[in-house]
Amino acid sequence: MSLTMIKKPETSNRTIPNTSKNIVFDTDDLNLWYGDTHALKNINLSINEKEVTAIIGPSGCGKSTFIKTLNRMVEMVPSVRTSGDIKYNEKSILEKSFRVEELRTRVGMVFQKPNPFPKSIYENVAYGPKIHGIRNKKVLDEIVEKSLRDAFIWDEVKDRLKENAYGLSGGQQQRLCIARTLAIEPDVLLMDEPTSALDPISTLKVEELVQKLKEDYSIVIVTHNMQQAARISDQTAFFLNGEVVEFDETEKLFSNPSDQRTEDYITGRFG
Amino acid sequence: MTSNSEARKSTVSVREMIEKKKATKILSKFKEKLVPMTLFLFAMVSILTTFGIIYTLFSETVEFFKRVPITDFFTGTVLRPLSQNPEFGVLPLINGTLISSIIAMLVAGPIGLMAAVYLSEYASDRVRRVLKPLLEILAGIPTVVYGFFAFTFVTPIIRSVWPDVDATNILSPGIVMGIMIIPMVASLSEDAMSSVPKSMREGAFALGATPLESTFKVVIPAALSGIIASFILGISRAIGETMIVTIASGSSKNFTFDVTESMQTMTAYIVEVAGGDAPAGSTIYFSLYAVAMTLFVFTLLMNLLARYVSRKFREEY
Amino acid sequence: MKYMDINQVQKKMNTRIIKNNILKYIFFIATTFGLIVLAVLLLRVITQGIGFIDINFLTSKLSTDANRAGIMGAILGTCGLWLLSFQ
Repeated sequence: MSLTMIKKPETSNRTIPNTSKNIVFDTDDLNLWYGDTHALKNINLSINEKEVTAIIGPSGCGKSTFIKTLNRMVEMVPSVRTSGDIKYNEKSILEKSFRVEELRTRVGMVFQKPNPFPKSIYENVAYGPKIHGIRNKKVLDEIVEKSLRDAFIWDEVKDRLKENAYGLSGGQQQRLCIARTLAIEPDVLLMDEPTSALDPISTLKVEELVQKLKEDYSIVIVTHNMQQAARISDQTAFFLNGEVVEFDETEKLFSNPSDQRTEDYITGRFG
Repeated sequence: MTSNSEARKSTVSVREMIEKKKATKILSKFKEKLVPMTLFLFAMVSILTTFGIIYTLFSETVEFFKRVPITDFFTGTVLRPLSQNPEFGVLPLINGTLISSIIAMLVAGPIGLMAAVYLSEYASDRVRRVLKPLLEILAGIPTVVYGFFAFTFVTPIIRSVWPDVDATNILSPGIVMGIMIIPMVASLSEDAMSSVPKSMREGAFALGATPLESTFKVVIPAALSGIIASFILGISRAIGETMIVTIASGSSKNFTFDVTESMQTMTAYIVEVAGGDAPAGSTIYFSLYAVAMTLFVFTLLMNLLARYVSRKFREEY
Repeated sequence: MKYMDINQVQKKMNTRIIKNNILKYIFFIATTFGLIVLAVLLLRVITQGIGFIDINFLTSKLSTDANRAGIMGAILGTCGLWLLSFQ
């Protein structure tokens, strides 16, 4: 009895390292193909609520594909097939009856390259609430201000809300995109290498922002910067060739990895 | 170190080879200069032709205005070139041209834009690759064919639902002209919309937008310059269109806004006069050039406008 | 503080998705409108014209007698112009 109790954490480590937290995303034998290419193989991951989950791995290991599957953005690529299941708050999201528009209002996404709309800063943030039916100018003003404040960019842009978003620097654009996502008040934030196109100072700002945001949001962040994953995440999954090699608490994964390949990767032997 | 020096050695030999080649290629140097010269001459031919046309138009127009006062020409609402005491007011022709172009754009604008939206935002790659070339066949049909299509098919249909319409009227050729322009508007607008980066759409979809919302609130605003330019090019195509209106709108030079009546456009007037027997040197002969000049100014302005708009509304992304 | 009311968003979403689907069909019809006209045009030209095309029609010259008239001259003229503009 006591033996199994001790053993249990080790065997279940790969899927659920910390069971005390609420689980927001739970994937069950998720497989994905692009045409004939098997991009994701039997992924079993649970993502905890109000934590930062980092996904690391070398280029082409499927980490971006995985995160895009969580809000079904991956469907924009023709010839994508999936099998298995993803449960978001206990509901299967891969079923056709689950509307992507609804999913994406609950699960926001920030992209690798900042992609603000060619509109004013204000319109960029107000776009989401507007399409979801908020017309009241005062409410929109409040949402814009709150979102920009939450994204730590309000002080930099409050005097030029009417200017085109493309006048901002890359780092500001990325934080604007985060503000735009926050404006629709999602539960989960998916971030696909949000700092890979940014300079070190902007990167630091975004990292601080992620730390702050996890009080209110569940965050999944893809990164190929291992220091970043170690700095900001609570859990880390290591992907290799479309498989999850190891999934554990960040501290444990980086200090004492249980798989040789993880150790090779984090010590810089490949990737 | 060894690999480094090896690399250096190989560069040296490549350089030598290049030098050697150069020395033997005086002939090719001559060719290098000859080809641009020849191409320049060819380019000059078309430029000189254009200047020739403008010169002829201009000089003959000046001759016309010696006989008919320029104010009479541009303010006159009566065009009676063949009567005993002829009058040369160009307004009926301008009116006919504008009305037929407006009708054409009322057809081609919305339908072309909707087709562009479908092709660029909704259709799968396979569907687009079939539909777009098929649609472009429409632009390749000879305009004479459209002309008698308007006269023998569209006009009777319109008359069966709206009996007031004359046998020759401006409505039917306007509509058919619009159909002819649809592929132009659709194709150019589709190009403009397809060149909006995919990341814009992803941004909108990631916020829970439907394809419709991403199209109308992100893609179309971003592609606006190209879309407006396609409209303006469509209008200038309609202004310059000749055969459809000549065949289906008759030749009465009414100055009216009633689309059920026959009107004449500038191009149709030119066809009528040039095809009839206008003796060289007569006033009616010179009126051809004055009308042609007006037409030329119209299309030129449209093209300049298209260029201005596509620069002015270009959004950076 | 929450500005987005989940129920409200859900309710809106139905109409938004329906609107999208309806307009998708309208856009498709607009695309095929041109093709339908094309089909009608070709059909009319072919069904009304095919009966008059025979070898005599293609090879005879113009004539005031409609029964003997042909388009050889017109074909040659078109070809001539065509060749000239290609030079």
